[in-house]
Amino acid sequence: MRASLRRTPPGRRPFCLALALALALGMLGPPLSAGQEPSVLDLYTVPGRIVARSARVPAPGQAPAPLEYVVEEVAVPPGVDVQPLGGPAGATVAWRLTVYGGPFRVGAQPWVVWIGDRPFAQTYLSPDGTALVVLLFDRALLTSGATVSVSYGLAPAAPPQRLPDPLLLPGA
Amino acid sequence: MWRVVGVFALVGWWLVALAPPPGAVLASAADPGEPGPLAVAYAEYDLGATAFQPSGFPSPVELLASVHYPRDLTAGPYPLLVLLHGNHAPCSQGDRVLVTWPCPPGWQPIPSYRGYDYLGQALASHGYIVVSISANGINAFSNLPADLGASARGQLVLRHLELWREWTRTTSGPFQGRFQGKVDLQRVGLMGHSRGGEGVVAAALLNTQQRRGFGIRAVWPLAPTDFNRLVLPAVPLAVLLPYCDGDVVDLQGVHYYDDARYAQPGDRAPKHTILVLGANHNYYNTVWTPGLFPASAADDWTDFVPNGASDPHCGTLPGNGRLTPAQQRATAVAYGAAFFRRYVSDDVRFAPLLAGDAPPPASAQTPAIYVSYHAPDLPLARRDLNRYLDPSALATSQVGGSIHALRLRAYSLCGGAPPAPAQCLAGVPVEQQPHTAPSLVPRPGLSQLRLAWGSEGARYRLELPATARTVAHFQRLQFRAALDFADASNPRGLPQDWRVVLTDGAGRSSAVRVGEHSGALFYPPGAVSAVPKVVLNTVRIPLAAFQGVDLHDLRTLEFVFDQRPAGAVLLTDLAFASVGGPQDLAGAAASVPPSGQPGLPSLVAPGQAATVAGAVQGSAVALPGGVSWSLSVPSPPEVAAGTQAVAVLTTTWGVEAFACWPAEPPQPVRCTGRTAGAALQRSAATVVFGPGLTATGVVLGPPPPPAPPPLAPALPARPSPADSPPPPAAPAP
Repeated sequence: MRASLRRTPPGRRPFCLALALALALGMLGPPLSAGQEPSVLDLYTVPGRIVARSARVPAPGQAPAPLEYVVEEVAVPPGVDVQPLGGPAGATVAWRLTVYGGPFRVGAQPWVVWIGDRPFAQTYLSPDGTALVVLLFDRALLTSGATVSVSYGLAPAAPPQRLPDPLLLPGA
Repeated sequence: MWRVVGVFALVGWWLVALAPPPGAVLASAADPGEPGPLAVAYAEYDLGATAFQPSGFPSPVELLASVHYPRDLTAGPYPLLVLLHGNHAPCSQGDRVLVTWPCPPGWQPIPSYRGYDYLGQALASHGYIVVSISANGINAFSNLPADLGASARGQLVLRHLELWREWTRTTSGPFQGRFQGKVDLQRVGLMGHSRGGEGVVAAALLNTQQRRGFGIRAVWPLAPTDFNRLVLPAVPLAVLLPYCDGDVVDLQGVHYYDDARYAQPGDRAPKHTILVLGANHNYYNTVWTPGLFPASAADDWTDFVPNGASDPHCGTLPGNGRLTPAQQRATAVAYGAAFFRRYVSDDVRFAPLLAGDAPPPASAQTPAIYVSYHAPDLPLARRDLNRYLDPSALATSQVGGSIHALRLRAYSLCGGAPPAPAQCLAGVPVEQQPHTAPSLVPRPGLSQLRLAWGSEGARYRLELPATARTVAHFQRLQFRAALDFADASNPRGLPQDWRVVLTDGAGRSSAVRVGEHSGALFYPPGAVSAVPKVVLNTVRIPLAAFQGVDLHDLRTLEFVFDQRPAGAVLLTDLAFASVGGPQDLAGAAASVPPSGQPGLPSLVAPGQAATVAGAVQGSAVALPGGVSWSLSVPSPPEVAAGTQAVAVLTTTWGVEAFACWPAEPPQPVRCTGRTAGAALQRSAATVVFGPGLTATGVVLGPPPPPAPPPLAPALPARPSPADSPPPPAAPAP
């Protein structure tokens, strides 16, 4: 099943998108405070180094347009086991692909991010439902030039939504 | 390692009168959806929002649940049913939702677990303790693990069962002894909705793999996801599939049934699917139903399916086939109660309903429900004629006879492993083909026979070899079938039909039209996007309907396609079968008429012994609070190794039954167990091997009172029925 996030009137979108970004970044959580046990969830929240982003994603602090992406390199905090996320034991770095848009609503199916024709169903949904985050532990999975799309489930009733910009990585 | 289950079924005399004769078409003897006789009380427990850390899950979760239970617990212990909701936002503020856990200040946990209060109330009134558990903490992050939270959900269910084990043994915990000795953890049933469906399957598997020791007797996934293709054999299973599910739109949960059918040789657990036309995903949970909770969900069909509202069956147009939320809940109560009462409480009255031999009960509020039924893998419960698993099934049946496809337009396998095509309906989207819908774990779908005809003389014939010609002890011929809506030869909106012809060794034939006995060949409704869907349902034809043929000497079985000029269907699971259970104690007891002298027990005091003579032989010893039995019976030639018979006795408590040891021919079958009451004087000790196959002895005892000391030593005389003493006046234990 899924819950409906209330639709936003068009006139309030800039404000709400800014709020959404604040939520998406802020509610993804602050960096670890001293003395706090590191958690695998931190990988979705700790600041990362931006590797690539689609053309229309604004700078941090500004609202993202729907269906844009950011790729970041994230250091795995010491002591964090990424195996529950499908990562290898002892991983020290991850690549974080965030797709903005939605609202991505909660239901029985996972939201699936597709890179080309390869699906990634282990998606983190931001608390406000405006960002989907996929963690990858193999940079080669980020195929430069591939299309990025999003679907609700693997066999969706509605066709996947394709992001306007393909995945473009530096040095590719 | 097999062991005797030390439980006994107690079945009243009234139930015996309702025993279904083999092959009979029965109306349901009782409506399982009617409220039960017991007053119901309600409680909750909350051990904290982060009280449990599932292994392999990124964060701790809550231990919170509601409890519906019989207000008067004195007649306990009662079986325990656990309900688990699916994926929904965890937190709300008015109608806004937030996806995190625990809920931050100002946000409230969404009580998805209260969405089944209607089920809890109904089931508790029939004598169950019903626990509905909250899983918001899992929902917040359930897509992060590779299994999308299935294991975490299973662990959460088992953690709650552990708590109940503690609370039924001690006075610890939030209830301070209220349930001490009142919960029967060897009679546990699980229901999971949506992702909860996959969670309860995972729980049952973990219970077995980790030897947790809970007696999980029934698992009911409702509109479930099946991302991981978990296979659950050896536990009775019922999968409810809402036809207008817009969320799990491909009805992937049907895989649980399909995958478990032949997974474990000798699997005694029946399996069922219940297809509910007009039902969506969310209305089975009142908290997810629009208008019943501020942060509810939508009608998933109209919300998720493009142009879904315009569909003539699932949409919102006048004359549509949709059920109201209340009607949907009624289907869950009716079939859920039937399933749990059948398998958790051995109430055999609901076997015909769950096998599709009885129409939906009035309480279900809709006749548009279709079921599939997979009988236990026991020689006397099911004989597979064709499983359609690999290409050899096109030429040779499961029993070794040859197969002839005559004048058929299409005759090939589909849906299973390569080289068969992955989908059976070419060009039709996968969400319209549930049996072959993809999952996260790539596995082949259901292997099916696609069969089409379009000319006179079309038929499909199986020859029965000498080893498979006796079928009289089975109740029905059955197969799963669905109409191929993508084939234009099937007239839109009309059901398909054909004749089944059985021919015996004397050349006598008898024909039965499928449509006389089953509605499973209906044209699936709907026209927009995700519908129509192809879902196979079971056709069951009573063997008694085939008049004039010798069911001890069948030679051929034919499908004769002469009722429609053309058509195309999908088939699988062709078998002779009977309705049975993993240890069908109640069913066996119901098949044996009561016997003996009412009110006259054969044993009255602890330490007294009785004997059993006849085809069944053995002895009984009275103990405090019951009678211990040790019986032996020669293994009949029809019984294969591993067959588990049931011993049935008429006692001062009614008709009681216990399970025998698995047969090991040619060794005699041994039956050791206990009854609560004392067997009646000259009652029958019956061992039931299967429908129509029993052995019987007579209970003799107690021995005559000691005679006055003889003048000369003499051997004591063995008592005979003729010189049994008059019954003592004392009541039985």
